Amino acid sequence: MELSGTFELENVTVEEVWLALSDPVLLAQAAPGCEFAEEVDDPDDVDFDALRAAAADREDPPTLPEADPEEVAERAIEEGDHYAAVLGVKIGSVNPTFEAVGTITKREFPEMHASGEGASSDSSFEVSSGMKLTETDNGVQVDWWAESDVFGRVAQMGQRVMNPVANRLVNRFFSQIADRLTDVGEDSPNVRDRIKDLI
Amino acid sequence: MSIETIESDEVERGKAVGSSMQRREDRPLITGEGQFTDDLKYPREVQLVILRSRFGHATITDIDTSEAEAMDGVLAVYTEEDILASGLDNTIPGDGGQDHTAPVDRHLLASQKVRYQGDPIAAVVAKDRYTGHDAVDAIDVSYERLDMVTDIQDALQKDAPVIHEEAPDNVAFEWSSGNADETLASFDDAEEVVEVDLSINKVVAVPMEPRAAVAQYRPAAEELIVDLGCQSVLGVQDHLSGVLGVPEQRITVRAPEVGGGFGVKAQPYTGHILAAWCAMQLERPVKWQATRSEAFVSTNHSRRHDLTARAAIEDGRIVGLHVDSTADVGGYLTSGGAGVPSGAFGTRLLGQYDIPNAFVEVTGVFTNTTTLSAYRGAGRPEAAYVIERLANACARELGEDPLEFRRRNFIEPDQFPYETPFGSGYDSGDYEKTLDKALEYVDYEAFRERQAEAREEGRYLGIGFSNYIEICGGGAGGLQGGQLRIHPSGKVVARSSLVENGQGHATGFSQIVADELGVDIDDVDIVAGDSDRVPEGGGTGGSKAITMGGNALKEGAKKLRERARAIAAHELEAATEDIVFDDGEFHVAGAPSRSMTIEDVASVAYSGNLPEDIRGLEETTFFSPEGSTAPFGTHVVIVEIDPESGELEIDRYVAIDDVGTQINPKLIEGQIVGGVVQSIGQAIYEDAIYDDNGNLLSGTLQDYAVPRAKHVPEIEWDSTVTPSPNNPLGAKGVGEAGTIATMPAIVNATIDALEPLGVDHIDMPLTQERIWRTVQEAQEE
Amino acid sequence: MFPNKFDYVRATSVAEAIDLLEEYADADTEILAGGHSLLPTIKSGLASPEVVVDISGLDELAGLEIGPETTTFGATTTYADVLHTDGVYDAVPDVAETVEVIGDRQVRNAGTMGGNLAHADPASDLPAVVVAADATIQIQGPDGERAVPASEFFIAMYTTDLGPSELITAIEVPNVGDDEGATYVKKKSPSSGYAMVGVAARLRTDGDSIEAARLAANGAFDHAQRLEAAEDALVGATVTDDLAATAAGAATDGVEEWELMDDIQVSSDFRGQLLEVYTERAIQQALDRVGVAVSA
Repeated sequence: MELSGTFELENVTVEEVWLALSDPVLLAQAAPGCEFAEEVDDPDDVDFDALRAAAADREDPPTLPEADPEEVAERAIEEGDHYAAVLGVKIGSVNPTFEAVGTITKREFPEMHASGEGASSDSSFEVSSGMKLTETDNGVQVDWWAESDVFGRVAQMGQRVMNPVANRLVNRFFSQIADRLTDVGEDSPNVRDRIKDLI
Repeated sequence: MSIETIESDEVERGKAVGSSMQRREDRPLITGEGQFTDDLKYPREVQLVILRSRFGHATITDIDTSEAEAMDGVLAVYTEEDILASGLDNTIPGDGGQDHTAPVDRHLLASQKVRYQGDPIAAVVAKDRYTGHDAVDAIDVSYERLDMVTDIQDALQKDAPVIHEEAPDNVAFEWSSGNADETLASFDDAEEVVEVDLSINKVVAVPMEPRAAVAQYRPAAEELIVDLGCQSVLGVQDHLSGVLGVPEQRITVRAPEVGGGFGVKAQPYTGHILAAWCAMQLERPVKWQATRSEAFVSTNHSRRHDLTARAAIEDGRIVGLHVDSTADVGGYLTSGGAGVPSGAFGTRLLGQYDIPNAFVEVTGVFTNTTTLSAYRGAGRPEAAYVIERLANACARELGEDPLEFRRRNFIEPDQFPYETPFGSGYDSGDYEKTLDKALEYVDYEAFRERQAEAREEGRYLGIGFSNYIEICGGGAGGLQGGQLRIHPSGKVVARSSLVENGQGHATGFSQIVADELGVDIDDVDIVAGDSDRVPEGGGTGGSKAITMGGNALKEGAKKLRERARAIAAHELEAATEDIVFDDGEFHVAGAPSRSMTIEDVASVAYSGNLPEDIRGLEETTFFSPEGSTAPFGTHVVIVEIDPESGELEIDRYVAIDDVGTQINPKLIEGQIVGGVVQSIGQAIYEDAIYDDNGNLLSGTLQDYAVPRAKHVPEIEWDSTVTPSPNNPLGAKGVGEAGTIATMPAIVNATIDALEPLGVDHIDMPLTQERIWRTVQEAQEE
Repeated sequence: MFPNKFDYVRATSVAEAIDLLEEYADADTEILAGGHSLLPTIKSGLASPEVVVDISGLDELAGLEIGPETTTFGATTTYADVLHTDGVYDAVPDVAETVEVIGDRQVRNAGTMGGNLAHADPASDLPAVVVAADATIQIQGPDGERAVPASEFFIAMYTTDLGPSELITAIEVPNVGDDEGATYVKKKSPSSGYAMVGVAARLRTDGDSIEAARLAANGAFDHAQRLEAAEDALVGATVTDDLAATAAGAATDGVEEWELMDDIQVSSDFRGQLLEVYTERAIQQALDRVGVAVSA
C-alpha cells in the first residue's frame, strides 16, 4: 500500500521543524500505539522483553517546544541509527501488537527517510517512509510518503479492513506530527531564540 | 428437485437397478450419529498443530523451538531435522521428476526455504489444541523474505524470482498432445480463424469437513493405524508405506464419515503423514484437525489456466483446433499437479465436435501460492469451458446461431467409438438427443422473442448452452476388486475399496448386488473404506465408483450366482444347464416345484460334503473394463443482467445428461445438481486471490464466496440413456459431469445477454463488479 | 477458535459492568454481548482482548418497547427478538427491515442491537438505519448517563463516541409517521453477508414534494454517514418518477475515491456506482412506502 500527503505549518522555520523531527521521543509519541522506542546497536538481535521492562517505569523527557533544544539536539536521530519499538495498535477491538525495528536510512537536510519492519506471532509488516521540508511564505510545508507491505495472518484474515486500517494509522501518525509541530510553531519565538545558536 | 424416491422395502426383487431408492447412508448423517475423524477419540490421544509459513517466499535461517518445547503440556516440537534424524528423506510423493516435469521434490516439512503462504515448517504435539496453538505461536522462525510472484504471467518473466533452483525459468512442466503439424497447417489454409483468450480463475475446494487424521502406532507389532477422511484407503496405505518405511500390510487405513472429498482429499499431504510419523515417534495416538483458515492455504487449489484457443474453420466446420495454455501449479509440483492441467485437461478439448486435427500445449508454471491439483472434474471442466466458449465465438464470427453451428460439428452416432487426435476415445454418444431434449424444456424461439422484447424495455436477458463431454469411469488396464460373500443365513456382504464421500455408494452397490443375486435389498450390506476389510482396487475419484466398483461387484455376484446354480443343481439332482434362475429362486426347467431359493442354497453351501469346486459362496473378482466412458449432455442457462449494478440472476437452469445405464436416478440427479452448484460457484462467486506479497486474501469463508442454497436456482434435470459398450452395466461416470457442464453455459448466457452493449468476452468469476466494468469498457469503445 | 488467554468476568448489573470496565481500564478489555462482532474479530486474530466483560445476562438492557412516538431498544436485544415483536414493522419498518437482512438466522439469534452499533464495523447494517432515523444512543459510564445523536456517534472505522469505560444501554428510534416512508436496502456480500453497500432512507412528504429527507449509507465509507448531497437534492423537490434517480446521482458528489472502501470484492470506484444504484432504490422504496403498511 502506498500513501502520501502533505501538511503546512505556520510561523515556523525549516530549521525548527527539522530539529523537532529529529527528536526520537517526539516521533515515538506520535507513532500510534507506540509503547516505547529505544535506540539499539544491532537490529537483528533485540531483546524486546528486556527493553519492555526497562521502559516500563521510565518517563519520557520533554519535547519541543518545552524541551531544551540542546538536549533534543543531543538525542537527535542520525542516519544509520536503529530503533526498536513495540507498537500496540488499537482501533476499536482490533488490536494487533508488533515488535518492530526501524532504521534511519537517510537524513540529509531537508529530507529524511526511514524504513522499518515489525512482527507479531503470525504476521509481519515492512514499511518505508520519508518526509521532505520546504520553506513557504509564512512557514514550512512537509511532504510525506509511506509504503507498507503486510504479511501473514493479519493480511489473510483482515483483507476487508487492512487497507483502511493501515491508512488510518499512517494518517494518524503524520497528523500527530503536524499537531506537535503546530505547537512548536505557536511557541516559536521562544524556541527560535533557544535554537538559534545550535543550528 | 423432481424425482420421488421409494423406500427399500418398496423395491421389488430383481428390480432394484433403475429404481430411485432412498439412500441408506442418510440416517447417521442426519441424526448426528455419524462419526467424522474429529469425533473419534482414543485414550491418551494428543494433538498435532502445524506451524506454517507466513511468507509466500523466504529462506529460513533459523527455527528456535526452545520456548515452545518448554511450555507445559507440549510433548514435542519437530522440524525437518527431526524427520531426517528418524531416517526419512523428508519427501512425500509429487509429480516432480518425471520426463516432462521439473525435478523438484515435495517435502514433509520445509527446510531451508518456503514457497507459499501455508508451507508447513514445524510440528507441535501437545496435550490439547489450545496449548498446541500457543506453542506454535512461540516458535521463533528467522525468515529472510524473498521477492515473490503470485501470477503465472509474472512468473514467466525474465527477471521473476526463481522459486526452485532446479527450474530457473519457473517452468514446472511442458506437455503437448495431438497432431501438431497437420493442425498448424490447417490454420494456414483455413477460411476463418477464430481465436479466444481465456483466463480461468483459481478456486479453493471447500469441503464442509477440513482435512483431519488420527494415527496410532503399535510398536510391538509394528502396526500403524490411521483414521482419516480420504478418497482412497489403499492409496493412503501406499503412500504412508512409501514415506514412513512401514510395510503396507502392517498399515490399516480407515475412513469414517467423510465430509466431502471433491478430489482434494486424494493426495499425500503433510498433515496426515506427519500425524502418522508423530504417532510412531511418541507411541501415542496423534490427532490432527485442520482449521478452516489452515485448510484454505494447505489443501490444494485448482483450475488456473491462461490460454489461447483457436479454431480453423472450413465450410462452417472446425477443421483444426489449437490450444496453448499456461497453467499454475503453485509452489511445488504436488501429486496430480502436472497430470491434471496437462493430460486430464488436454485430451478432452475436442468436446462433442468431430475435429480431425487438434494440438494442445500446456506449460506448467510455479508460483508462490498453494499447490494446485485435482478438484471435481480435474481438468475436464476447464476443457469443456474452452471448447464451448470457442464454439460460441465461432458461431458469432460466422454470424450464425450457436446451436446451428454445434449441430453441424457434432460427432455423429455412427462415428462411435470415436478416437480424438489426442488418442483419447469416446465410447458412445448421441449429442443431438440431449440437445433436442433440452429444447423440449426450453422453447428456444420463444426465448429469442422474449429476449428481443426485453431489450426494448432496457432489460438484458441471455441464453447459453454447454454441450459437453467428459471421459471418466476408469479405463482399459484399470483394476477394481469386488468381494462378495453370501452367508449361510442368506445375507450378503459385499466389499469394495472405494471410499464413500457422500455419493451414495452403498445404496448403488446394494442395488446392483441385490438384483444379480435376487435377494432382498435390505439383506445386502456393503463394506468399504477400511483397508483391512476390502480387496485391492482403486479409490474414489474420476467418476468411477459405479463403472469400476459397481461392475466389479456385478461380475462377482454373477459368479456367485453361477456357483449357487451349480449347488442347486447338485441338491436338486439335475444338470446345471437345466437349472433356471428367477429373481432369487432356482428351479428345474419344466418342473417349477423342484426349487430352492438362493438363501436355501446358502444354508447348504458351506458343507464338506459338496464337491470341492462348488463349496462355499464367497468370491473376489478383479474387474477391468474394455475402456473408459464418455458421459455427455446439454445444459441450458437463461440469465438476466442489470448492467448498472452488475447483478446477474439465473432465471432458469436446465440440465440434460446422459450417463448411460442409471443405477439410481435420484442419486444421479443429486450428483448432477451438486456438481452444477459447485461450478456456479466458480462461474459467479469464487476466486482465490493473492496479493503481490503472497498473502491469500480470500482465505476465509468471510472473503471467499462459496454459494449457499439461496444463490442457486432450481435445477431442472432430465436424462437420456446411451449405454456404454465398455462395461457390463453399460454405465458411465456421473460424479463430475455436473461440474464439467456448467461454466460455459453461464458465461455464454452472460455474453449473449450483454451483446447489445458491445460485450463479446468476459472471464470468470462473473462478479457484479466484473460485469459492470466489462459493460463500461465495451461502451467506451 | 484459538485465542490468546483472556480473563472472563460476568456482570450482574449495568453499574457493575461499568465498575469492571473501570477496574480493567489499563488492560485490553472488551465487552461481550451476543459475541457476533467480537468473536469473529478474535477468531481472525485481529483482536486479542486480555479481559472480556460479559453483559449478555443483563435484563436491564434487554427488550424493546414500542411507545407512541419512539421505539426503544435495549442494548442487548437480539435481532431475533426484534423480528418477533409485534408492531415493530408498523412503528419502525426501516429498523425491522434492516435487522431482517443482518447475517443469517444463527447470527440473528445471538447478535445484539447495541453490540452491532458499538463495534461499528463499516459494513454492518444498523449504523446507517439509526443515522437515517435520527435515533439517539443512550450511554452510561463512570461519569453517568448521556445521550448522543446517532449521526454523531460513528466517527471512523471501529471508532464511536463511546468512552473507555462506557457502554450503550439503549437506542431510541423515532417511530415512522403516516406522512413518512422509511426503508433499508442492501447489497449483501455473498461471502460475509455484510453490506457491500447499504442505504437507509427516511422521507417525509405531503404527497407532492419532499418535506424532509435523511439518507445514510454503510458499507461505502469507513463509518456510517449521511448522504447530504443527495438529501439536499430531495428536500423541497417535487415527487416525480425521476426524482429517485436524480437525487441518487448526487450521492457521490464531493466524495473522493479514497474515502470509499476498497476490498477484493468491491473496488472503490465500483462502490461509488453501487452507492448511487442503492441510494436510488432506497429513495424509491421509501417514496412508495409513504402511508403504506409494511410487513415481514
